Amino acid sequence: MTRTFSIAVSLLLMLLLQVSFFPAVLSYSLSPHLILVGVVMWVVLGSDDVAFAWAFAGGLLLDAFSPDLFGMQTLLLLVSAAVLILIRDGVVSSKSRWLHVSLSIVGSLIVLLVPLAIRPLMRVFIPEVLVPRYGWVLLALLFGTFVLNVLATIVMKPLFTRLTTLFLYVEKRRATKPFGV
Amino acid sequence: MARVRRRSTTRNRSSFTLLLVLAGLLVVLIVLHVIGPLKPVEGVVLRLLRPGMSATQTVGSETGGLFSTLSGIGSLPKENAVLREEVDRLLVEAARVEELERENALLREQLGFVEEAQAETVPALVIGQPPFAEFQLIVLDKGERDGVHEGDTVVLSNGLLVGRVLSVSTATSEVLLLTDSHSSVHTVVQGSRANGIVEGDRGLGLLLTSVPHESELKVGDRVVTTGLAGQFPKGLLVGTIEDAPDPGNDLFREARVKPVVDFDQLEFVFVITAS
Repeated sequence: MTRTFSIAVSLLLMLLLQVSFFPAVLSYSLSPHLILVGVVMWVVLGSDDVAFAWAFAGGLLLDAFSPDLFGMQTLLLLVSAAVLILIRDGVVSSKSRWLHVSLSIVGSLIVLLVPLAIRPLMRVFIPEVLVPRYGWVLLALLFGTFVLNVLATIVMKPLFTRLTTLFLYVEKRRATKPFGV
Repeated sequence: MARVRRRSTTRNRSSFTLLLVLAGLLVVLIVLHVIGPLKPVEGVVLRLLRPGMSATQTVGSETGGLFSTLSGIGSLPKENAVLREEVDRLLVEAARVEELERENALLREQLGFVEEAQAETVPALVIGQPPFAEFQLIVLDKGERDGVHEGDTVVLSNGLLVGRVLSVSTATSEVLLLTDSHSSVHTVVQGSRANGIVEGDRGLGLLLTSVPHESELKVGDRVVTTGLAGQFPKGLLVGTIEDAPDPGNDLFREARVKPVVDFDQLEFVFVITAS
């Protein structure tokens, strides 16, 4: 219960930072994609179920703000989580020092570039889909977000590691005192 | 070793079962969103998030303001002098406009003109800027229950155009900023009366397009809305011409427009709900 509650609170905090705090501090509405960073962290720490649940809940909250089709952000985050798990288990050694950075790079590429590629295709079937103007300005903004994501992953890693250690400690204590004595 | 691999496979299998369940649930939610029953739930979620967003945005704005103040200390005296000059010029202009308004009202009265309906506005706080690189959006703390509707115009208090309401929930609304590449507004250049369309330039600025080749465009000329097509009310200031390159043999002219609104520092805006 404490674990679920703490994860939910962290998710909300990350969402508020992503949607309200960073765009107000940085120019051009730039902000790290902290929900994605969370997904990367849970994959790195081996909590795959939490990574999927985080991607689902965080994606739905982002969808509430997105002018895109409802569900697009959630789907992108779920696909990212699945791809990152496959990479962790098959491509990059899970003991690599750079695992979190590599996964952050791959996750950012999926979340930032896939919508750009599929939007014009989607517009053929759904005319309401907004297609942005492609150009170097958009690329610069995407690159900025990409760099911020990687930096945020590096900064967030110790925090998430400590959070997981805390959960393990609480669970261990409960296990030794099953009746809460 | 084999046991570890087996455990990892079992764990992967259960995780991917969860993924399938969540994907199925997502499909159900998308259907509910399209049909409509999910909309009130989304409204409630946004209403619950509103206080948190408002507080975080305030902290963010203050932090951002502090950074920009610190970085701009060196240029303050020069900026101050320019602003003083601008204030003097605007004071003179305000006095002249006041006189003209009085004269205009008098003439209208004499000609029996019907008084123009005053626009009703709803003040709103900016509580978020969803960070999607492809869209320039802000979230306001006012929604349907405050009288905000999709398509309403959003301005700063002094009639500077900010954007248009893209979607509304019960307690919040999303505004597509003028600088977004999906925004376009029919405008007129005040000096030469040349008509054109101002389009957002991917969040970086504004472009005035479709201006007839023979039109004269001067740097510093003000660009205001025409009110054509009922998109935006008439006379809202959009920006000033920053650069108007020679069109050569092109049929239409283009110019870069400097927005008068600082879209990175929006905190408080007004939604024009009726006119």
